[in-house]
Amino acid sequence: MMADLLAFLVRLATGVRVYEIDGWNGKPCVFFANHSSNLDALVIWAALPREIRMQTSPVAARDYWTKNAMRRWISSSVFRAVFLNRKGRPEDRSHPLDSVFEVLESGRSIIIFPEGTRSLEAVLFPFKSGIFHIREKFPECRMMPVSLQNLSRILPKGHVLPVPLIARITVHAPLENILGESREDFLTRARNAVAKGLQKDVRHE
Amino acid sequence: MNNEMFWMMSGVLVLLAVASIAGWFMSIKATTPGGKASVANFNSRTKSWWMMVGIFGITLYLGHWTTVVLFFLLSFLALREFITLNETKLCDHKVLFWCFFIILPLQYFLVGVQWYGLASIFIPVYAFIFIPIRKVMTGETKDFLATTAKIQWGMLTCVYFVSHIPMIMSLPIKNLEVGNAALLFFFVATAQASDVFQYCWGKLLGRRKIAPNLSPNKTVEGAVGGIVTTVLLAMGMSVVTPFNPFQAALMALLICLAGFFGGLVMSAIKRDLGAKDWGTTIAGHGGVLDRIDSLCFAAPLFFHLTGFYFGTGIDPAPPDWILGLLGK
Repeated sequence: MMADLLAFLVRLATGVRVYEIDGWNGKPCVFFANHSSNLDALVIWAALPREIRMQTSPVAARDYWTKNAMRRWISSSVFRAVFLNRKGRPEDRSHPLDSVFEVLESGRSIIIFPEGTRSLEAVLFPFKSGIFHIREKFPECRMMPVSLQNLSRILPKGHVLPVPLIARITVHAPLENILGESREDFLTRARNAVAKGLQKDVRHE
Repeated sequence: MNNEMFWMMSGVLVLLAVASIAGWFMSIKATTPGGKASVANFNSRTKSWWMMVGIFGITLYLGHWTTVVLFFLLSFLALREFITLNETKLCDHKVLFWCFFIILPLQYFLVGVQWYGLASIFIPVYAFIFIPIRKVMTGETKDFLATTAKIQWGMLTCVYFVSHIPMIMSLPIKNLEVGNAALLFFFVATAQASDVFQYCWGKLLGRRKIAPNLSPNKTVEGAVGGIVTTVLLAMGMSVVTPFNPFQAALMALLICLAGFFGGLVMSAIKRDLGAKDWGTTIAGHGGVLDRIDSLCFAAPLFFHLTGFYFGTGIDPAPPDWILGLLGK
C-alpha cells in the first residue's frame, strides 16, 4: 500500500510511466543501470510493472543508506533494499555479495548500479565486477540493461532540492548468454548496452 | 452558469459528439494501414478533447481560483517540458528550482489575488533580473548567455504569457453582463477551434505546404479554411463578449494569427532541439506545450487589446491585506 503510493508519487514527480517488459517469465533477474542520482533506484523500481516491482529489491550502499533514521526507513521498510558493503572485505571472510546472492536465491530480482557510485552528468564510469560474479553464480538469471536519462538534472549529486524535469527510462532486451566470456568482455558488453540508451538522439525518438 | 455559457458549452459538447461518431464511422471504413493510423490518431485526439473540455468546463464553472490553479498546473507542465528538452547545465539547478517552485507559484498567486499591476510586470522585471543574478552566483561562465536566455524564454512563454489567460477573469470590462468567465471561454474556444479547424481543413483539402521546414502538417488550405471557419464561429459567439460581431471577427482574426505564428515559433524551437513533440502527456496531441503553444502568443495580445478598447480603464488594486503586509 505504502509502496504503491510511493511508486505512484515517484512516477508523477519524474514523469516516467510503467515500463512494460516483454517476455517476463517471473524468474528473478538483475536490472543494472547507470547511476547519477539518489532517485535512480527509486525511479527504476517505480517504473517496473507492479508484479515485478513487488518482487524486486534495489541494492543500496550500506554506508549511505543506513546513515540516518529517514534513509534507513526508506531503504529497509519501503523498498526492501539489499545492503552492500562498498568498502573493504567483511571480517568473517564471507563474499561481499553474499547478501545479494541470498536475495536472488530467495526468488527476488535486484536493481544494481555497477558503476558503484553516482557519476556527474552523463559520464558513464567503468563497471565494477559485481554483476559478473552474479552472472557466474546465477547463469539462468536474466541481465537486464537499463538506461536512465535526465535524473542527474532532476536531483544531481550533492543537491537536496529536486527540479521537476521529465526523466526517461529504457529497459533493454536482456544480455545474451555467451559461454566462457571473460570478465572484461562481459563488463564492456554490459556497459555498452547501458550506454546505447544514453545517446542524445535516443531522447528524441 | 448563465444561459449563454450553457449554450456555448452545449455547442462544444455537440461538436465533440459529432467528432466521436465520425471517428467511429471512419474506423469501420478505414482499410489501408495508413488510413487506419490517421483514424486512430483522430480518435485519440477526440478522446483527449473530451477530457480537456471536461476539465476546462468544470474549472471555469467553479470560478476564479480553480481557473487560476488549472493554468498554474498547465504552466508548470509546459515549463517542465520546455526545460527538459533544453540542455540546461548542472549549474542551473538552483536557479531552476527558483523558477519552478518560487517564481512560477508567485506569478499565479499575484494573478489569483488579482494584483494586476504586479502580475503584469513581475516576470519581465523582477524574475528576469533575478535569474541571471542567481546564475552568476554559481561562478560558471560557459554558455552563460545561452542558458540564461533559454530559462528566461521558458519563463516568458510558458509562465508569463500563459498566466494572461486566467488574468482575463479579473479584467474589468465595460458593459459585460455575462461575466468574465464567458470572455475567457471565448478566447480559449477561439484559439483551440482555430487549431482544430486548421487540422480538419488541412486533412480534407490540404495541398500546398505553408512552412515545410517548421510544421509539415500545416497547409495553406488548412490555415485559410481554419481561420475563416473560426472567425465565423467567433461572430456567432459575440453575444457573450463585449464585442459586436464585427469586433468579434477582428479579435478572432487576431487570436488565429497570433496562435498560428505562436505555434510556428514553438515548432521552430522544437525542430532546433531535434524533437517532434514537447512531451507525451496528452494522447494524440503530444505534450501540454503542443496543445497550448497557440495560446501563448495570443493570450497577452487578446488581454491587452480587450482591456484597452473595452476595459473600464481602472486597474483593480491589490487586496488590502497584502498592502498592509507590505507596509503601505
